[in-house]
Amino acid sequence: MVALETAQVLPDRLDAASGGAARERRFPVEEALAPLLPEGSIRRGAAVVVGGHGSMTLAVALAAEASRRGSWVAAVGTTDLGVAALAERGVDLGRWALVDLSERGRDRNIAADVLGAVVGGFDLVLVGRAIRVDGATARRLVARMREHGTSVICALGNASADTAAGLQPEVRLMIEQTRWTGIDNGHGRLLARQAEVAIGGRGAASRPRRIAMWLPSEDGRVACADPTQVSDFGFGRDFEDVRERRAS
Amino acid sequence: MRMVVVDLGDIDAHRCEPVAAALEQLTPLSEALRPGLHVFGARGPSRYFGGEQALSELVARAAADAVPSASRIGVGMADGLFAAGLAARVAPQAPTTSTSQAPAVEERSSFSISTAALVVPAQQSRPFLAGMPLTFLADPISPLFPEDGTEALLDVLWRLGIRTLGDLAALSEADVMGRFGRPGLLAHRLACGLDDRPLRAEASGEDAGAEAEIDPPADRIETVAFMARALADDMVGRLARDGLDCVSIGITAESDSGHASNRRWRHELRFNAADIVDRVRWQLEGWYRSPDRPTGPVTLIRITPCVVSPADGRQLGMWGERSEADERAARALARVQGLLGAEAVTVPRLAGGRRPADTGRRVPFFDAAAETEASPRKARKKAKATEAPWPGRLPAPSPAVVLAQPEPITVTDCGGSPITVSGRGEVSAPPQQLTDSTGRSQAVTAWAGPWPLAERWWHPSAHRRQARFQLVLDDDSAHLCVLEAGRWQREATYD
Repeated sequence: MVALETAQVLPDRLDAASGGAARERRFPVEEALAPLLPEGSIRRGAAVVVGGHGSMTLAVALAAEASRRGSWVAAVGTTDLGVAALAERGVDLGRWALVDLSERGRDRNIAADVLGAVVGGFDLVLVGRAIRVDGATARRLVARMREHGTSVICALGNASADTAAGLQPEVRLMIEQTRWTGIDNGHGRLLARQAEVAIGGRGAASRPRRIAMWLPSEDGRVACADPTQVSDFGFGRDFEDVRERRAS
Repeated sequence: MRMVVVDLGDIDAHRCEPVAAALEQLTPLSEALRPGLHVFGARGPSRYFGGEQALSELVARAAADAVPSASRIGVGMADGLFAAGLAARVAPQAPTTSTSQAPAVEERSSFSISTAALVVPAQQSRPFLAGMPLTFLADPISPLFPEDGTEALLDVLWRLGIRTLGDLAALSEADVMGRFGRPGLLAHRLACGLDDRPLRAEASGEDAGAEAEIDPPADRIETVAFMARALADDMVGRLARDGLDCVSIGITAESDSGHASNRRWRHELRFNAADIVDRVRWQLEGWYRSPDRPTGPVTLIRITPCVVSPADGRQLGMWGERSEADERAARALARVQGLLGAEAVTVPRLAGGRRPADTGRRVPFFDAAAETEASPRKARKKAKATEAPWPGRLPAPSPAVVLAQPEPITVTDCGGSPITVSGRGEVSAPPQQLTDSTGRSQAVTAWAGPWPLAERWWHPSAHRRQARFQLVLDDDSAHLCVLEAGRWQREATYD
């Protein structure tokens, strides 16, 4: 319940800073995911790009807290999003809409119009790898995101981060190394996934960092790993850096 | 959903009371849309009474016996309320005679049996509606009937040269949506025979219901109506706060002579307080003129919401109690539906099942309102089905990506021969390589399974036998793959 407390404090602090303006400026994320983002939350109007194996799981987890707090989320071009997995991430299914672009949405102009419409009406938009926006379309979309305070989370999968460059992402979370546990040759089952996320971006996120994560852990949570246990992940020396930095 | 509508034309509330009583003998779940317009689901009763034709004839006869003096009696059966209502409207008429002598009634009603009922076969609503004039969209049976903009909508359609429901149905859904918004889409769906208003009469008998004792007992209907107004305001307000609309209510009145009147009323769209008071008035008028009328004044009035539905995008532009964010989202989705078609926007819902594609459903956004999930008993039942153990279901984590169309793949062992599973669930060899539909091969680094799944094994054609595997490939991606009837498919990915 710690997550609840921080997130309730946040708008108050912002209200004080902005002279009591009632509108929250940022979307909260679960506390366990806060280390991934500058100020531990998603700025309204900004884009966050998630790439690599597990990008869908992480993208949904980033949107979950805001959806539980009453924000509407639209998932566009994610025809194959698993509903059971959505529920396991704890999103509010009643505030979640799925927009299927697989038929008429193949036309890029229609896809752009659809994105424009949901960006105007939803707080968070989850975009699947099937959509590519660039050029003037992307610029219009970015302007619209800022105007309406809508944030976009792109789940790129294996596509390169450049495909979403047109959205001028504030944060890039590239899942670079993953390892499933609990499964072996012919016995066990998929239990948990360890992952290493390379964080980059602009502004506060511009200093590259790496963070170890559970995607999800054995108890079903998507969370940044406890730094003291990072050595168990055994991904190599990158985490030595993390621990050294934390120690110094 | 198959529905039966009994249409008595314009008739005073008190004269249709016997019809409601007669229908109650046939089905416990009949509802009145307004005096002289009764509706109930056909599925159960038609099985019981020997088929749809037999049921509708029985209903026609019962109605004719109950109100021998009715100017018209029509009985219609079809898919959906709208088509059934129009079928009742155009059903061939029984010759009506003023009846004073009993034998003639007997004879007349047996004559009218075969003619006063019209049964539109299943799936035939659209061709049935095609020839109907457009103005039927403003008929009291239509959900567009009480809406303000309906006249204007029909006027514009008329001037565009659209004369029949068939003309309207022939237009593309997206075009209608784009030009006329949600009312246009609703009209289009009605014209296509897609009237999905639920008819799930179910007494919830709890929560939002309200009752008032009337002390001193009221001997005038207006006094009861006044009490009912306060109850109705209260009930509608409480439902609205929870984001719910009430489409069906039950009204109970008790008199000091120990009589009681129970009736169920249903609304074309949603009840507001004034609508509820009207129903109370109609019910009491009917009751006081019926043969089993109470001998004393009314002592108690009770109003119970029977079917409630989430106040949803259907009511765009006319709800009072929704947040600005809900409204914005609904509007954006309406715009997207205009661009992509109504079916492209869905709402995720959990469901019970074993395979990933079964555990989550996607409900079209338009129909989500029709899901009476808010009916408390139904919601609990549903939650039970979702939470119930589904033996054979794979435990969490669930795959984040569930393919709409499973991808055909091949899985081979180290010697390159396809992996098979014996009838006893033994794998022929450890899986070594997975080749996807594009021909790309990847090594299998870890695997688990097979988990056998036999569904509906008692059913000769619907039964399925599968062996499921979790396969981790050399790029650390993990997949749920299925072997069924000798063919491998990738069903889901743990993305």
